[in-house]
Amino acid sequence: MTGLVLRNLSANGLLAFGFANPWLLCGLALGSIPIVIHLLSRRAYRETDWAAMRFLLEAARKNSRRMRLEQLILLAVRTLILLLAALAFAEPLVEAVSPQARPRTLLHRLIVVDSSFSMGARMEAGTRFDRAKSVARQIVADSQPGDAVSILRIAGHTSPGVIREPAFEQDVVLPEIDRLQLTDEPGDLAPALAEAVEILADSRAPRTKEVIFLSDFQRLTWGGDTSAKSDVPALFRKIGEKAKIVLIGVGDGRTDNVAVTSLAAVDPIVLPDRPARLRAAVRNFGTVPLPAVRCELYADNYLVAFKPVDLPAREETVVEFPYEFRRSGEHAVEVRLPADRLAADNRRWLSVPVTDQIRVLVVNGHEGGRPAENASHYVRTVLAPSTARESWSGATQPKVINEADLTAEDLSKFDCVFLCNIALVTRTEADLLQAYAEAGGGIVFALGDRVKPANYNAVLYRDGKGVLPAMLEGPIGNARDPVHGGYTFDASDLSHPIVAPFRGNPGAGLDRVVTLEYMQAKLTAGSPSRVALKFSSGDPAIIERPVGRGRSVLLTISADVSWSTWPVHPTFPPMIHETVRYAAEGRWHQRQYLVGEPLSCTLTGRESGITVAIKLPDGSEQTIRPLVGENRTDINFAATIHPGIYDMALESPPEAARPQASTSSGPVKSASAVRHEFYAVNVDPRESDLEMVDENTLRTSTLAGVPYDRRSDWSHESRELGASEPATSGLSRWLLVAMLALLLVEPLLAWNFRQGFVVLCSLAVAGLGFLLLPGHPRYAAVFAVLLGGGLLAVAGIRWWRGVQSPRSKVQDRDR
Amino acid sequence: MDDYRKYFDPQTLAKLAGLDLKARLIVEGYLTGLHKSPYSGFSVEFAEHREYSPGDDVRYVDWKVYGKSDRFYLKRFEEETNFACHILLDASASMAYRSRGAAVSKLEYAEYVAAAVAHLVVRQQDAVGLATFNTTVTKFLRPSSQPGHLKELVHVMEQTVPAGETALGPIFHDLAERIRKRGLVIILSDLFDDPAGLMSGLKHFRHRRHDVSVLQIIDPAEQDFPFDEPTRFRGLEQLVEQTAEPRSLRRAYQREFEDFLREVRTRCGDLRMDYSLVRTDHPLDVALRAFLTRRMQRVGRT
Repeated sequence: MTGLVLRNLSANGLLAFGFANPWLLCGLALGSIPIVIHLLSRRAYRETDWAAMRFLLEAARKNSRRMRLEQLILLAVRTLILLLAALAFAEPLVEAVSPQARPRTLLHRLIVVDSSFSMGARMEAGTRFDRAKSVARQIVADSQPGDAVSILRIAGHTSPGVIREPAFEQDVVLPEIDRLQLTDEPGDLAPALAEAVEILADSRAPRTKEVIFLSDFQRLTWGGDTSAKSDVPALFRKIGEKAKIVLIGVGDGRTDNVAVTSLAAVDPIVLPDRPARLRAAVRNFGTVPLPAVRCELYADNYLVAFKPVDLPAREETVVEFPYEFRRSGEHAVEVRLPADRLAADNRRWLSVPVTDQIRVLVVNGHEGGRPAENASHYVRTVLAPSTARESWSGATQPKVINEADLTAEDLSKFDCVFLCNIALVTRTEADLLQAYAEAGGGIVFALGDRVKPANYNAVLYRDGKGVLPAMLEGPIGNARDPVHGGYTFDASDLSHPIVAPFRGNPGAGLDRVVTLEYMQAKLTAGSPSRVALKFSSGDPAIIERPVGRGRSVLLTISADVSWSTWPVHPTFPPMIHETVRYAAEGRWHQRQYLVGEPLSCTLTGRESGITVAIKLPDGSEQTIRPLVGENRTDINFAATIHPGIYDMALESPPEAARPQASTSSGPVKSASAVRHEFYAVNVDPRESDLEMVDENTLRTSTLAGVPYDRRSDWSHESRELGASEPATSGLSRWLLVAMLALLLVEPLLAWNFRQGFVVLCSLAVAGLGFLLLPGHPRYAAVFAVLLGGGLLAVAGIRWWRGVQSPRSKVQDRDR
Repeated sequence: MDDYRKYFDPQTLAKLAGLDLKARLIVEGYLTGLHKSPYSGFSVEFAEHREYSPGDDVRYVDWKVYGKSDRFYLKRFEEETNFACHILLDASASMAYRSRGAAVSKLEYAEYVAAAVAHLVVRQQDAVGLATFNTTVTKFLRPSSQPGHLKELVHVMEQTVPAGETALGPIFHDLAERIRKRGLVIILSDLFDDPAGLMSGLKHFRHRRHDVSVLQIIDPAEQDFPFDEPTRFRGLEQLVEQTAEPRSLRRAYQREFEDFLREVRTRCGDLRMDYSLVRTDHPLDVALRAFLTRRMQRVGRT
């Protein structure tokens, strides 16, 4: 407060009174202007002769006292207008010295309730969320008439707005607080803060603002890096500029919690009647080790295995369950821990599609005179190695076609497309492959002497946007001139899944494969491609990259014997199988989601006309309308609000029904028209860490430079004035409003004092009503408008009658 | 506006010179518009002879009687014996008032009406007299039907200067005494006087069995009080001044004024007198028609 302040004005010293712009008080002298004008006007008058003097004298005699009073009131109104203007510009400030004399300031409170699932942690009495709701109710109950309340929630994907409009009635707010529900999402501050900034800009609410956060102040939510795209400190700064920030902790400070933080199948493709390894990670977030915690494995809702697990404090323990699925199709797997204080993270689900076949489309790019001279010969042989005595009964089922037939094939029937020494790829073929990979298909490119690098780069690589993992630069070495001895694989780094089986197995001889010629490929910086295997020269031999939901693998060598001896080396069959499995894994890879993330599924163009229904974990069903494009059909489902298995049923129209879809090898229910896909939705494991953010992080990072008040509870004396606003801001506004009202009334008073006086009184009554009923400003405004309008209408009618009456009187007399 | 009607407009008449011309134009206009004389029912039947005296109109000498008796006798007619019209014109200072929007003063307007009525009466060969008054009777012309008498009346009116206070009660008593012959008494005044005294005087006329018509002439400003700014009002008759805020006083003044008009009108009705309120912004035919129509009704009743 920079202006003049006079303290202890009253006998009890209750108020300090001052002005922000005391020099503008000089304007009070303007109040003398109407008086001076009045005095001058008593001398400045017109003169006229008058015949009907006796009536004038009589009227003046009878009404002199009334006229004097009217003149005084009019003079007072005119003087008051100028005085109010001068006072308003001087911005009077009244600051309470004692609580009893504190001026009543209306508040707009924004209650932000943390609804992330960590708030579900049980305490001695109820959960943290129950306590947050209780405190919220208490805050609302402590509100005074005229205070406004808005409610927001902190969640992940759920909209933060609960009551966006400032609500003035407790009857509206309390039921909404009761209806607030805990979510299974992690907390994300940014959306709630952005919403709060918008709400604080609402001019209809009282100007003094408080934003009260009710949270457990978990490290994940309040650590300052929850939302990388949003600047949480900047949003807090914006809020701090307009409101007082109050942080009320509703947690008990305990961090003990055990959670299943991950669950996955170790093998990329799970086959029936073969042991699949299911790996779960269990973390003890507490400070006390927990011995022999029972960890249960459920398959299709049946308990199939359990293990006692020792969980050291603050450490993660991996638990692996071998399990054999008896049939192909969709399976739901769940790992469950005993109930603890936070139940939401004790269960974790996994969708395991079990397939009995891996269908591979092998595209032959070179037709030789003999079968062994075909480019696809060795690939096809290792994928289905049947002999004259025994036919192949393995999972991989190759189908060999000529490169000219690629566009005629329905790729959606295959899990992997293996391209062998294709010379040129057309734009149509490239688009087809691109859509196939994005929908989850796997593509393996094996090169050879026929490959035109320029064509591959232009059509398939497309500066990193296409399906080819790397740009081809040209052949290295010369297979026709094997003088230099060739190149070998570099077996020093076998961390990639494709070559992982050779890890720790030097006897396999991977480093002894001789390659006389290969295509040099170049990876650009920032590319998502990874090198799985290198040559001894340092150039990549196997490169892979994700494409949409699918994967693409590039072998820079040939899959026949034209460039190397690898196809006849013992390492070739396992390497090809691993490559195909890895590439085809995309079909099943994107079945795991976090709560709030939309489920998405892309089908190829021939799926048009499909209807999709989804069964939620709570047993309810919803129908989804697919988004049908030119070559693809996108299915999106956003309401993943609870963890569990989401069963998506895709029903093709009868005419489009196929024997079995390749995206899933699930059971066929009716005439092959319906297929199911299971999707597992789990909670974000980071939210399971109940450790609170430390004060230093809050002060230096999340709320850097923003003043805030952190408390452990709500109390009545919490009603304080916002620091960002002086105690009596708004007084000037009311003075100006009063001045405007008087400005409106003054001409009416001068024209017709009686009616003007009635309007003045009605405005005064409306103003009193506004002050006494602050919670109902609209009613007071409507009352004032109706009263004023009615009186003006009456005045108008009377004026019109007055205009009409002399004429009619004369006409009556003449008649 | 038809050609003749323009002479009903006080503003037009104010531009013309000569009250007699104005009166003639008013009457001609009025009669042309009426298409028949309002006095067509009055007969001019022969009643009696009387002996000639100097000054009488020689046109009415009965030459047949002269041939028989060698004496001059004049013919007397029925109407002449029964109808004598007395115009009482208020020439007090208050009648001089003319507001900013009015074309003529109240006195000028009253003179137009008086001259027009006189013209009409003489045109019908009836007698008309005139009395002007303020505090006292300033001029008194006995009724005569001579055309030359009309000029005398007009001349008197043109020479009248408004002055003095109105004292209607005593004046009317005085005039009632003076006008002995029963006839029509037309009072042209703003009647700004004490209603009790005024009515007392009017009663005297009725006591004399005169037929009384009252034309109260007022200025429009006196009824509308159209002032907005602070004004000092100077009395035309009384030497008093009153400074007032017209906007706050208007309602009270109008209430007083209307009460006065209502009282006058009511009392006139009680005395079976014709009463007409005329504003100086009204056309002359309104005043004439109001007066003459009532006359016709009254004659018809009697």
